Amino acid sequence: MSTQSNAPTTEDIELRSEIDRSLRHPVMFFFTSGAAWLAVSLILGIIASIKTHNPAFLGEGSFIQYGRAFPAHINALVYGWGAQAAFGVMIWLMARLSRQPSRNAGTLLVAGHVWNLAVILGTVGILSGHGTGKHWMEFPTFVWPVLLASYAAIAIWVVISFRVRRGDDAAYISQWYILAACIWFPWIFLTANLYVNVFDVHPLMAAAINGWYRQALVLLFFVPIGIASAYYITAKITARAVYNYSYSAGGFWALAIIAPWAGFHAVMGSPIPMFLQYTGAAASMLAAVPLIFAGVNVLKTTASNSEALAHSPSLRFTVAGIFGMIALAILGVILAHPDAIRYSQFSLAGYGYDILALYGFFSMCMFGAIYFIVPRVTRREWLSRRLIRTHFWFSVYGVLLILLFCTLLGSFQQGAAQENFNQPWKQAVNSTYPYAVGTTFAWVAILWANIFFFIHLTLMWLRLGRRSSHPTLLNRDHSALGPHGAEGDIDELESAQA
Amino acid sequence: MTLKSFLIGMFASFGLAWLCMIAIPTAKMASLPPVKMSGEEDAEFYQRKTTGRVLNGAQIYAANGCYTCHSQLIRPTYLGSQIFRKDVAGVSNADADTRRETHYDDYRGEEYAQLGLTRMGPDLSNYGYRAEAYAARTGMTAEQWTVAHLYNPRNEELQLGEQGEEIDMSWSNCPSQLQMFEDKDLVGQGDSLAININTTAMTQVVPREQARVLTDYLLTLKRDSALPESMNNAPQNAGAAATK
Repeated sequence: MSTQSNAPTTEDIELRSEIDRSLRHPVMFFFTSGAAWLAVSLILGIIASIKTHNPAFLGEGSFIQYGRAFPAHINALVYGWGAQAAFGVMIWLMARLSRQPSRNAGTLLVAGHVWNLAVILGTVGILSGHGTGKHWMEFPTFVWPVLLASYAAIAIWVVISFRVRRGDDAAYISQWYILAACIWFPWIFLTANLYVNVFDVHPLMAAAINGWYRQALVLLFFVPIGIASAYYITAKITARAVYNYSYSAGGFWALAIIAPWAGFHAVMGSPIPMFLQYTGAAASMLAAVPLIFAGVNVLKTTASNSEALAHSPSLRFTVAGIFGMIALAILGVILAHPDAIRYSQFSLAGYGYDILALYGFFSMCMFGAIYFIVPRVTRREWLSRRLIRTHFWFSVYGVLLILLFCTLLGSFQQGAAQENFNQPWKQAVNSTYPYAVGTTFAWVAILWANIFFFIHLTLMWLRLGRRSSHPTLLNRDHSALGPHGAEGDIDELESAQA
Repeated sequence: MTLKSFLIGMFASFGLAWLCMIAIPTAKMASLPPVKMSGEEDAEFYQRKTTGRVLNGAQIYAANGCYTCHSQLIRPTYLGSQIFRKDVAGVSNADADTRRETHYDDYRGEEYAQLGLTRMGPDLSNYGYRAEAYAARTGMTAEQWTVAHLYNPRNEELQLGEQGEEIDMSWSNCPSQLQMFEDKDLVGQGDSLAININTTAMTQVVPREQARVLTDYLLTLKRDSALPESMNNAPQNAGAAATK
């Protein structure tokens, strides 16, 4: 990792600010449009969730009925927010670690706009009743080639900036993770879409491949990007080398070897070959190993640096995200176990797992990266500690409510009621009620958190951040100079220092 | 780690899993050999017969997100007990017991097996039988009952005729599919599938094409056909099923 204990040279500072300047527009575009999609997805999620316990909410209109709002919510979360946050972090991190300014901001911007247009068309398509009914692939089928093409136009520059990297040959672990995600994503995406949407395959295999796709997208795209960002942020902020390099390389290869086999347990009990179901379950459980490896490695890097953890918003979000990843690993072991599948397969658990992966782990890591990257590319500091704190705590409470109450308690309660075959079905519906209400509460908390995040990010995008050389930290000290130290134009302050 | 060894590792680790889990099983599942109903030499080959508008009915089912709450999978008993739930896995009465778990040929004619995400609603593998049972109790036809249920799943007055019994459905959290219905002028004796509420002297609420196709599809869901001996997990049922 880039952990120079000695002060960076003027040349370094110039190179870094050149990289930041070259990527300002694409990175900020991906982050702000991603945050807007997050808001859209959260609103749809709240509507869908309320409709599970109060179906007449907002009338019985066809556009926002549960069967359309729910898929639109998940797809906006995955492709609108998740993928775009990942793109922003990928291009910035790869450019910084390869020490190469971007020369293709224009292409990245165009590709980003095309991506957004495709997600808009897809979401409107689902809401207007043209969804495909394949989970996480519900966008009408004309959308996926557009997504893939604009992905290619984005990812190619990540790979190229790795190829032309400056400095020593040894690449950082974050670069390997990002590069791997760049290769895995099109392979997974193309496989799933060709087999499910194009080729004439057995309907059960199409459903099984859809289950594999969802697990692979989490383990081989969102997980590597999240881990790459966490390694970078923790090493950078604590100014220490990653705790153990062999652990990180071992964790990477363990992920590469185990994760592609996972996911088929989503269709366990269906009449497809047995070895697919049980290999999928075993791999999903084993995938805990690389996740915990990477998680422990990151946490060890931050250990004994509690001051940075308390004060740096980036580090705090990242560490929360890493705890989310370890929880995801453990939840994966529980939910993929064939004895639990009996109860959890058709309960709220699958949704809880997706939310923990996409929000509790991945989004928290991305927020950490965004709080780190945005001040650097806009050359402005975050405006308010209070907004950041609100964002953090409401996110954490929301995720914990979904994880502990709805997923662990709720899904098994629901599953047990479904298994109780002597009781009428009404009893299974009623037993879900409190957990459906709980999910709504959690989403409202998370929306509350992200309204502040979105406002804050928009102000930063408009370059209305503080013009100061002091980063916004989460300490509570008061001083005569104000909470952040001396105010002033960052350019002047920096040139005065130099 | 050099780029070359990295790429080789990536392609080997992912490629092996891809071949073993995706490419080869999918190819094999695409050409399953026909199976004879029994070991006898002149036995018929197993063939699942369906009628109705399965393909576009399934598309409407998918587009309106029915799969987010309804499953279409009867799991083996070691993974769940839904096979014992009344009228979910087949018919079980004094004359016959056709209950069985889902077979790989049960989705014939569909592009994608809608196994479902959750069971916020009941499993629909054998909805056709349940609709008939409900219809018999309420004095409607299965088609009328299904259409009325799509219009308002929480309808407490699902009843036609005088001898029909009222069924309490107010606990359902299923969304109604109002977009599949329209007001039409009453002509002649009217539409047999018209909803028995919101009807005035001159107009009636009738299902659009979508609702009719979806209903047709839902009523084909009777996945309890007798299986070949070699695949039947409940051989004592074979006789009963065959005589049905």
